[in-house]
Amino acid sequence: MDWKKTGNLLKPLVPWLIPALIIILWYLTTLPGMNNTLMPSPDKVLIRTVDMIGNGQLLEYITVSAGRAGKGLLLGGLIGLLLAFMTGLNRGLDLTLNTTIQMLRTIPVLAAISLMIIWFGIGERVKVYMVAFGVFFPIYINTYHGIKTIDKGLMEMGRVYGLSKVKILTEIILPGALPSILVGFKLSLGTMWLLLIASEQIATDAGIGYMAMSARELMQMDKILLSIILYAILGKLSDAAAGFLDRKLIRWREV
Amino acid sequence: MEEKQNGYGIKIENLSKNYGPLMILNDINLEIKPGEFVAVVGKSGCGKSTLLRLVEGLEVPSNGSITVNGVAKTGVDSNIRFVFQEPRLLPWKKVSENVRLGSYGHDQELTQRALSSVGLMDKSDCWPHVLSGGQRQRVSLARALAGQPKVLLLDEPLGALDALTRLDMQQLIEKLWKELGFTAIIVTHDVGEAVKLADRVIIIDEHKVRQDIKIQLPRPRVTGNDSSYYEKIILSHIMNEDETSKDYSI
Repeated sequence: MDWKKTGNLLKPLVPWLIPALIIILWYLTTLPGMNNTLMPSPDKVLIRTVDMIGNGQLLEYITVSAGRAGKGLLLGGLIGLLLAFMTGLNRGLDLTLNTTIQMLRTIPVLAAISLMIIWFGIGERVKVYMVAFGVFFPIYINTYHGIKTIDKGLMEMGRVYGLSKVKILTEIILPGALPSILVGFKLSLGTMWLLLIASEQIATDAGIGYMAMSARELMQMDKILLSIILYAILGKLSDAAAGFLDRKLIRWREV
Repeated sequence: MEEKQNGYGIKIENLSKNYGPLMILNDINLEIKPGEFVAVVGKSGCGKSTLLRLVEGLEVPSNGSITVNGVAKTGVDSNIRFVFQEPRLLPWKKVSENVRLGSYGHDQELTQRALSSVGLMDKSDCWPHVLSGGQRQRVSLARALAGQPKVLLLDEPLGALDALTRLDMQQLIEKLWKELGFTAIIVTHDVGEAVKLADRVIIIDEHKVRQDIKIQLPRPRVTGNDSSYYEKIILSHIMNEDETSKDYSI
């Protein structure tokens, strides 16, 4: 038997060993006679999942939540990118804007919730704005840093070789800042889900947060657990998407 | 192999450069003939790199003028190309794309020709980070030559390379200079390199041209008694001041 070959085949399974172990332990603690009322058994959660897939609720909630997250990410991300390019490339704007933005960054986003509810109500808008607010900072700061740390030697090279301002932007600054921008993007995905959860706890009639809220009121432990698992899956998926983007866009990097 | 293009002559008159109160170059006068190979040597911080950057148009003179091919220099132009001490290749572009940056209108044929002239045709599809230091510097040389410049400025281009690679590169630079006929100015702290490559060695000291020495050795040059003679003269000029003004005794 070729051990090396089997080893290679088993390698992708290794990261899943601990999650599998946790599920097994979870199952063991919920066996009859374990005196456990605060934890539903895995099969109960599974039944609930199948049930909710069947009546279309699960898909609806996921779509609503992902929609809010996506809109917020797009809004906050675009504003962050735009502002970072403005302050990163223009010294005057840098001087006027950057300090203010860096100051705003130190405010915990969750502390702004009350203000946001008063301003924007408890509707759909406030959720998108909160996600946008949280996503903005990691993208802005990393993009700004990426632009500021571009090798000045490369810019000078561009000048010697007669590249126009547009060419210097597209051929030197943009690709040079891209790794940093992607780091910001990855970090922003984390804050995106965090703020989505917080904002969906405010008042909603749809979404994963709503599902967890209503389940809490009815003590439906399996539903609460399902919503947590859903967040974990969505987080993992967005992480994988970011990693994929990273590999696609930055093929030139030294490994 | 290729049609011989003639280099441009350069005339530097009363050139001075200072940053505020800090004097870098003071009243430099030089005339460089078309197609000549000139080496500029001097202690570090003597302003030799600044001189090169002034000729390129990367810096503006505080005083005096630079005339290239009879036309007063006003800024960066494509007839004068610069090879930096570091290769400064764009890491996100393949080798051929990097070289193509230097050619007129991003011409494919000029790119290929420049790459083959430095012997790196087979690397044209590589990312810069897989190349060795010497290969990277050869790519940057190809990029400079792809635009068929009339003047090539080299700012300690071999300073970061190991001794063997440096010998290789010196031969390559001399060969390309002979073939293409451009005017070349190399800034170096390696006196041996200056004597090996240049028709004239200019020593800068105290912000001024201290000596202008013609190297009358047949090419290709080999290191020997004749070259050591020149090296000794040049070194003594560079070190001269230290011997007289500094007291080494305890």
